Amino acid sequence: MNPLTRLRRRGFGLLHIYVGLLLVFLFLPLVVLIVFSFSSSGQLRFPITGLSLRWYREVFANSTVTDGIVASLTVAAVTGAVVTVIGTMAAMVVNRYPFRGASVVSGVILAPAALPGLVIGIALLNFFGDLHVTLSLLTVTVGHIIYTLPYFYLVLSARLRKFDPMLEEAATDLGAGPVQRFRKVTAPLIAPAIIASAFVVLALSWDEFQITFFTIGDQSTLPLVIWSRARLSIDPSVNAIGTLMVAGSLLVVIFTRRFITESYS
Amino acid sequence: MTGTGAEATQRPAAVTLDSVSKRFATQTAVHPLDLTVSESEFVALLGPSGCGKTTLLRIIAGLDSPSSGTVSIFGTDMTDRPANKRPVNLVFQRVTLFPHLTVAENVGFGPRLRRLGQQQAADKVRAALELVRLPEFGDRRVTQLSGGQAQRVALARAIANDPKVLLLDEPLSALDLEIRRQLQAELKDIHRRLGLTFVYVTHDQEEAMSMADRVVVMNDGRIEQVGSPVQIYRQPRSPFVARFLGMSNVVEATVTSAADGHLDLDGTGLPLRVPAPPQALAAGQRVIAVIRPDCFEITRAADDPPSAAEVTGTVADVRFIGSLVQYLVTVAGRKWQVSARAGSAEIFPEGTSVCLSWRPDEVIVMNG
Repeated sequence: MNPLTRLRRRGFGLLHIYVGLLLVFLFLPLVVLIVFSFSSSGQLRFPITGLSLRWYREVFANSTVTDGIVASLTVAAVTGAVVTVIGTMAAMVVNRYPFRGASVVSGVILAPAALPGLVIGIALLNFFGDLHVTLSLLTVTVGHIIYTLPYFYLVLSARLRKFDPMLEEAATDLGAGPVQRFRKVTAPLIAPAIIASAFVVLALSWDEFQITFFTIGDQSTLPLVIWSRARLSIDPSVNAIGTLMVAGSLLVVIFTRRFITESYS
Repeated sequence: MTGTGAEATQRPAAVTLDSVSKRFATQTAVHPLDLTVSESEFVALLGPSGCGKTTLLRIIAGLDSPSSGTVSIFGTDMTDRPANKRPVNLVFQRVTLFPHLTVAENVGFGPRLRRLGQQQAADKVRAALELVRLPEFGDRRVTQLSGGQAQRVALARAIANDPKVLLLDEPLSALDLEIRRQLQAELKDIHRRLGLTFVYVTHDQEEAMSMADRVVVMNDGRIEQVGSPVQIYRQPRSPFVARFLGMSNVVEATVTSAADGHLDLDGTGLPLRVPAPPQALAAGQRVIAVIRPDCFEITRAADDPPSAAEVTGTVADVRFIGSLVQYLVTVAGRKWQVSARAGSAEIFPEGTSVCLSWRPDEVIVMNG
């Protein structure tokens, strides 16, 4: 073996070790969380003495938690629907039919992604207070829409920039009117990107904490339920909730990846 | 419209452009121009990039609207008719196949929009794919096609839509030379078989000359010359056409005397005496003389002094390109392009002293 190859092999080995350590660092806490969620004991101590689903039973028996899950799903669903409509229209018009001031519109849409969630939360709290709007899941949803719109817009814009306008011209040339052109060419081509972007929104809304914290009313979303429980004591059922949230996010990521890889460029 | 041979003028006009122009915000892409394309004719719009040829094609297709003038197709004014309602189809320069559809679905796009019956649409797709020699490709994804195959499918898609005029915007320019040659031949064959009117945009003079019945040379938004390939090659009407058709020696000269049906030209370094052109030229006038590289005869310089239509020079560069040998010959400080048949003739290396002669009646003189 020549020295260069040996050096490369060794370098490769170091890289493997580095990546391995990084992954452990990133995911060990999650693994611990998941393992403890299946522990039969109330003590958070290794090694676990037995496996059980008691914390999951407890979670689903607790109406605060189930209400939180329902609230989070509702907020995520409404946020996803609204952002998909607004975001698609905004991304289409800015990327495909640019007008004077389009870059300003683009900047305004993207701004919340650069602002700390804390600032958005406080601003919204003041805003709703001044308008005498009662805080509720509706105000939370408004906050989530503002917060997730930039991400939707970014993902879809990236796809639209790759969209070849000549495909639309070809459709027109072959006899398609504006409506047929959108239905038969534009929509099928950008649909995977829209769905992928919508899943990103669902994932962001599902575990959003900061903005929710400032805009929440009587009903709590799941992240706030966990926070309030964990603040008092480390209750093993929090591990079960956490595991459920990881599972939910993972599903969304898998779906999203699937749609992105199927998307045509 | 300029005379274009009896055959073409007897046929009905397929496309008529009447003082069509196109201005964009900062520049004029097409100055007002007239052009008639006859039914079943193969017309090439030839010119460098930015000369307005693609804009003109898009105006015929309806993808751009003219700033002035009218566009008629088979006698019907189409100026205000949107692209999707015009009986023409365009094959684009870039691949514009719909990536979410199969080859057959792409080809059937037009027929299905026109709500043809299932069977009728399927027949059209099959016939079009057979025409472009891809009958087995219907179920393929378009992303699996090579560049040449993709342009064949694009051609099939346009033809399946039953256009009255087929517009082609440099459809072969992105392809390898070999595939391009092959598709040129096939396109010409398809044109002959279908009897369809073709308007073909290209910047490749060889492509235009070899395929088209009539060539429209464009420059800077204007038509420089319209004519058959032979006419354009033998009688270029402007220095631009002469230069664009390749390798011509285009030089400025002054008329020193005009008498007895001859002109004597000075300033080129060659003792040019040529038959007087139809337009009246007087002594002292500036003109442009064009001598095609193949007008020259090149021989080894002899010891005796050159005769009247001969000159001696030095070979500055030699290029052997198969059937031809291209020389650059320096005569009195100016370089001339000279081409000679390779055949069995002697090939003169760089630095050889050679004798150039030319046929005076093939020297083209135009107003400067």
